[in-house]
Amino acid sequence: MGHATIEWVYVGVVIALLIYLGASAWEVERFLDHPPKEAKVVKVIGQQWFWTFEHEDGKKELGELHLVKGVPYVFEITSRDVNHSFNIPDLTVLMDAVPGRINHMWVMPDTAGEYLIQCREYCGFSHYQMRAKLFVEESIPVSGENTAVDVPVSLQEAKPVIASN
Amino acid sequence: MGVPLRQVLLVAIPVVVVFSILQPAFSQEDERIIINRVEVWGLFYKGMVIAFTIGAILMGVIAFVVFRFRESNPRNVQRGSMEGHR
Amino acid sequence: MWEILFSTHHTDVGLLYIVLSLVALMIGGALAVAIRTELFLPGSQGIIPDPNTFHRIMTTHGTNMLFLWLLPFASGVGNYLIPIMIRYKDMAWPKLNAVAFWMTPVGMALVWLGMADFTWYATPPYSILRAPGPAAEMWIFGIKILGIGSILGAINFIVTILKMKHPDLPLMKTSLFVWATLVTSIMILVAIPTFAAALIMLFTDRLGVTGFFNPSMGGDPIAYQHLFWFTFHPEVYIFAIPAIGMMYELIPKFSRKPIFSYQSGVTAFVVLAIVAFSSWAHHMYATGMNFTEKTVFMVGTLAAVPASAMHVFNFIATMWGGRIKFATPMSFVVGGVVLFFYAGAGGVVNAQMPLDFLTHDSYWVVGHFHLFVMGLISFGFIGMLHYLFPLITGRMYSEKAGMITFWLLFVGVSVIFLTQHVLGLYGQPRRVFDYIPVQPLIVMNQISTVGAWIAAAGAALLMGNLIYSAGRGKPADMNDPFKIGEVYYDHTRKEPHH
Repeated sequence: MGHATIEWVYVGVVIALLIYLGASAWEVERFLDHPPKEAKVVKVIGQQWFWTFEHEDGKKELGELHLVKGVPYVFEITSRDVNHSFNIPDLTVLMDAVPGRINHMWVMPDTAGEYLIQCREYCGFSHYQMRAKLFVEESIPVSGENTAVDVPVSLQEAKPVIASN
Repeated sequence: MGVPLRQVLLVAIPVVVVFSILQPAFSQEDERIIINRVEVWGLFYKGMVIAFTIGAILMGVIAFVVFRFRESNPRNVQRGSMEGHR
Repeated sequence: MWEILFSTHHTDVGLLYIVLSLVALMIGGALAVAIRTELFLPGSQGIIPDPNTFHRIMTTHGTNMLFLWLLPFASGVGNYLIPIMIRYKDMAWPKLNAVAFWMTPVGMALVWLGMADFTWYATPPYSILRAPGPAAEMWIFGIKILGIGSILGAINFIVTILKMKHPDLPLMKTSLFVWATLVTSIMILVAIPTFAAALIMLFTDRLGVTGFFNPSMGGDPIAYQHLFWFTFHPEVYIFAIPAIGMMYELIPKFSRKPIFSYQSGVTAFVVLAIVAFSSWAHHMYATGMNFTEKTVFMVGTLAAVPASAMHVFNFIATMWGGRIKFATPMSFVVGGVVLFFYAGAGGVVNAQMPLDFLTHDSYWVVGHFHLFVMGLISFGFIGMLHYLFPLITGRMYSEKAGMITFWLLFVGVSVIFLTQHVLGLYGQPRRVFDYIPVQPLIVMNQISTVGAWIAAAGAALLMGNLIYSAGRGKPADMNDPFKIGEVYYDHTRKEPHH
């Protein structure tokens, strides 16, 4: 019966740790939730069981996505049929693709290379194979008028973007 | 009951921690360099440091209790004063 | 045999609940072993022939374990112990009690014969547009029936505890297991109707007459997820609180000490029950919630941690200074407390919004909630099962086999699910029939599968021990079967059958 002082101290410590963790999470999420203004839009559409992508300049890709290193991108994610989840594990990108909704998620690839894109929400027969490839490229491909990105210095140094809050 | 010390502790510890955290959050208003991957994993490692520290303490305490207060421990042969009085 | 089947006596109905839940545990466990064995190597092993079968097995495993193992077992133990603990001859409404039980096998038959493939979430639009045939409808009606059964049972428990309690016994003097059952039953009444409504909407959506969750008819699939999680996040606590109540029952007995703080036990139960309803949407951070919503639900989720921590503190403080007999029930309880911490720590990680990008819908989550349901909850249940065994059968199980069971299950569960946390961090999605054949994934999946085989050996030994001992075990000393010098339950209860 009754309580002991040590129990109060213990509960106090637990609450303090939780507040510390919660506040750190809030602090990080505050930045992750707001994409930088100069970010380029990529439309991501999931359907059973493949991904299609559409760049700002109207270029469409199927099963492959080519991005440029050091440029921030906002993904506008939606689905044509059932729920999917757009996931790039190596870049910690994850957002559900829900039909009738457009969800936003932004990322700035900082290392060139080939990455895995996969579906992380159960979506039926071939859910486990619903993958795509992400290619992060060092330089801008010569196709079309990609003049929006005129920051070659920052590309070479992989200088991170300034995100305004 | 009624001893203010407990309540004071319960309130004081969180308040001190909250303010120590919120101070930089308030001062740091506008711009910051971020890469999601780095931020997320940084937060994850921070959580893991805390989790493993608490876990080590808690597992240590449980291991001690299990070892020290087991029935077969030679220091524990006498019947406790509260046995059978529930 | 027939006497028990048609009885309405609380011990008989309790026995039926327990037997049914153990059957569900074994057949559901067999599905889990099939799943893990299939994932031992990348590519198809032929254990499960195709993804479709895999998805049906995975759905049935989840549904079965939650609604046919955890819920009925808690009801069964409640049936056995609540009337004894509150000193009444039976449940308040014995016939209603039997009716509530007999809904369970009906629901079980529907779930198992249908084998739906839309996971136990049944998330639309998949479940309304693409999920095949009668299986989905059978699942919907099966869950509906199980839900009604648990609501009837909950009403019966609440009335029994509050109205049939012996007048000389104040509520604050009853066992903490009584409190756990009371709190759980109230939570069932609050939580279940939401999903019951969602199930009807799901059904009419499937018929095509409505479009609540169908985006092409103007519905919102996210609305379903809110309704679903408003029921099934509290449901986690509905499973966990009885297990914690059982631990409160067992720890003082085997430590030969009173509970450290009865009051904080009650407080923590009530706080958990309330806070459980403030955190449902932490399952939905990735569905496109805005920043404020995410923050609110993160705070609501973290708020459940202090109450859980109070329970753990209470357990350890009760054991401190005791003279602990590590018989099988006590070993399961302490093992459960250890696994409870792992699960809780993982939960704090999941709750933080940015970390959801790492863990959501990955194997981390699989490991996390299995540590709860198979660690904390099932360990508490199996410990209690061993403790009740003499009361139920009048015989003792083999203590040596019981301890081997414990170690097999403890090692097995730890290996399976701690490894799955790491798998999740490497990015393996949950609910996959196959994974990419790259190295860390292969070896991690293999470790996890070996753990599953160890746990399966433990489960087989558990059943063998119980079934053999029920017939051939040594007759138990019914006043103190565990030789701990504490009061055992009144075994004369079972005599008058009617």
